[in-house]
Amino acid sequence: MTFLALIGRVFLTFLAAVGRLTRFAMLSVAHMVQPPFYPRQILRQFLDIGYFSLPVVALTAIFSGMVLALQSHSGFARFQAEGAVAMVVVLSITRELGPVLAGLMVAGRIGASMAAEIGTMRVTEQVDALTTLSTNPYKYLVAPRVLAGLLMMPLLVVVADILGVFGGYIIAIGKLGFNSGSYLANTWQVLEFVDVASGLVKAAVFGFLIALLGCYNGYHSKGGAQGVGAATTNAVVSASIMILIANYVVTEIFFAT
Amino acid sequence: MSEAAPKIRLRDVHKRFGEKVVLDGVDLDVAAGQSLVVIGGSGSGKSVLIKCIQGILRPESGSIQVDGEEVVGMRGKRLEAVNAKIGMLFQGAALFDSLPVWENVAFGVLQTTKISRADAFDLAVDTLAKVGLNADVAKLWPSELSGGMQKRVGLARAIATDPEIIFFDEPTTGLDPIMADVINDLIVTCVKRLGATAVTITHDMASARKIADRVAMLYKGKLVWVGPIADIDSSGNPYVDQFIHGRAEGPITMDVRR
Repeated sequence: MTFLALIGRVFLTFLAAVGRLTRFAMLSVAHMVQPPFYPRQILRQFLDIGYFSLPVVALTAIFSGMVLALQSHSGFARFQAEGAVAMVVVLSITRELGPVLAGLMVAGRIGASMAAEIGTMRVTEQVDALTTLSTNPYKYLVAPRVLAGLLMMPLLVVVADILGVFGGYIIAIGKLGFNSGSYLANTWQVLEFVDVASGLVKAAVFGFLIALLGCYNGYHSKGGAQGVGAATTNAVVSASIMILIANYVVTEIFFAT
Repeated sequence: MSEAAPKIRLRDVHKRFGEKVVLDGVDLDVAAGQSLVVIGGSGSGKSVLIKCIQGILRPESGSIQVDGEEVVGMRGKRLEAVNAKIGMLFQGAALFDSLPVWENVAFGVLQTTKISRADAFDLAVDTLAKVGLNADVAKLWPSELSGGMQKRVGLARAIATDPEIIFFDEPTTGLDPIMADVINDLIVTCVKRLGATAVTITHDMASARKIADRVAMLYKGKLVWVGPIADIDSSGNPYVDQFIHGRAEGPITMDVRR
């Protein structure tokens, strides 16, 4: 009986958390499209997510592309299918590795920073101060971040796609002895619009989730430094898991036949 | 002719967090232009009381009116309009870390009016002067200020919009006695200059004696005494007597685990 009660309690707690997050998401989206808007806040978040995440995303993408070329070449060599390296690199990067790795890196960088910043504002009463200054905290703090996540992640993934493919190209030409012209021709030949588009849709979904979960965990943080620390950890862990789940869902939508 | 309606009216306000009852049927009137100080120990519900008046927290039951308008259940633009009449000095100042001092001070004005940023800067410098800070402070960041200066900037932010009501949440906590007295003087001056209604929560009796017209004592979520500051030493209320003399023995008990 006690065990059943425990299961019930855990399930109800889970449902309540889902309900709170859904309400938070709906409020965030509603405030994102209703004035007043805060251009300075939006621009700051665009820069923070879009510009300052570039180095980490670029490095991740370029090295992933390089590793992918090496690994696929070594694997396909067993079947004399080295010619497929260009195809594997471009499809893997654009469909999966570009958005997922960029998403996970941005979740670590931006999700954590959002949760820590808003969490600190919460425990030092700065969020309450916004309300007393006739400013809706959802509009001022949450909406610009969610909007920036939604719009900046696809741009980051475009960069990740280009650099990931470039990383594979460097290894293929410089180390594996491929012909530059035929490698690029193979890359273009195999690439379809849906490959890039699906990756960009994933990026937008991931960006939305990262910002939403960063803001949600920060906004609901309690206590002091420990509460902010827990919020930061939860933001990164929950965003990373949600990215992997959403990745499957979007892939299913685009590619399940 | 009937008596003028109070600026703030609370009737039978109840607020709890889980099992813990924080406000237990609070009735309180604050007249326009009056300075009310709410005293009480830590955890007696003082901060919750003013957060309920501002609509930051919602009581389970009861009525809270500001200028005759019911605040309980109010949301969105209407609540923002009520809060536009209110200024607040937070216990830890609650300055926005990501904004320079001048933008903190002018924040409310920038949000509620179409003032240019240059004019907002000038207004912030003027307001900082009213709390004894010079123009050099305007471009500093909150993290560069001492605790006393942060309190002054918080006070400047609270008065920058010329509010009709100002809340002070433990304005002297964490300050040395001299700086605490400076802040008390500034509060009295600013409230008088604006003609505002002030509600201060504190457990600093020196501060209460300097700021208050009336005093209300909160204990375990109930108001146990309300009266003029002049009567506080002769209130005959055992809770008030124990509190103002800082005695460990008396009807007020602290929950200390041994």
